[in-house]
Amino acid sequence: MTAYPALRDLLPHRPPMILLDELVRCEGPEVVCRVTVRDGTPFVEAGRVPALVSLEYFAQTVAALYAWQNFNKPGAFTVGMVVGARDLSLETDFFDVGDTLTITGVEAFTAPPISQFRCELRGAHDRVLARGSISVVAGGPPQQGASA
Amino acid sequence: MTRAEIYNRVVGILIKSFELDPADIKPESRLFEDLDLDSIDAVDMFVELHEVTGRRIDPAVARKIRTVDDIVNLVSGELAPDAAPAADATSDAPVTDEPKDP
Repeated sequence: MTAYPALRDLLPHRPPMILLDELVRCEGPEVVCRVTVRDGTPFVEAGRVPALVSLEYFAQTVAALYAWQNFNKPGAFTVGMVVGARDLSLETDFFDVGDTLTITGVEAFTAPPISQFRCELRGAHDRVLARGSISVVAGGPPQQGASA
Repeated sequence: MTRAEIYNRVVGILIKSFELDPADIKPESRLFEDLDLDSIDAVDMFVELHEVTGRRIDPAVARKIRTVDDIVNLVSGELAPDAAPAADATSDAPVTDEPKDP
């Protein structure tokens, strides 16, 4: 089983904007990350976070894939940005503090520098709470102000 | 699937994905100049085409697509037995131009 680096050592984001807890798995075109919603973290208010934040969870999960693929490759590290989202479907309005969310991204198509990923967010009992596709642009040296 | 069926399927994807007017779509329509698609739309389109062909579209082939007819040729080639990557498009200019700042 692969031991992955901490996300702070992978993502270009800096706390507190690293919204995910860990990279669980990254194999081929598929990446899985996990987070447990906690008080005091960005976008959490009155004990819950809007489900629309799933888009950022998706983005950071996909960023983790690029970061892992380029880990230990000086100069190859990619930053990126979300340039589109499609078919976003939210099965709930909020996630509650204490919920553990598992986010999966699978590359559907790539024509560098643009790729599209199908993403899903699952909660308790493996129930899908959000799904959708995001298109991202990735590549080039890190640029100030850019994020995936 | 006949060529006409493929054409209708492609037109259906363009209408559904990009809210295009069916009257504007012709075999010779250029995706970017005539139908106003951009490189991000093109990625969406190739994901949809994957659903039709059941095969991943080769990005190198995708970059050569220029017209609706090019897409039909691509899908026809992908669906043909013993298909080599299709696309009879001739231009080598990339489909994924540098993205504009969001």
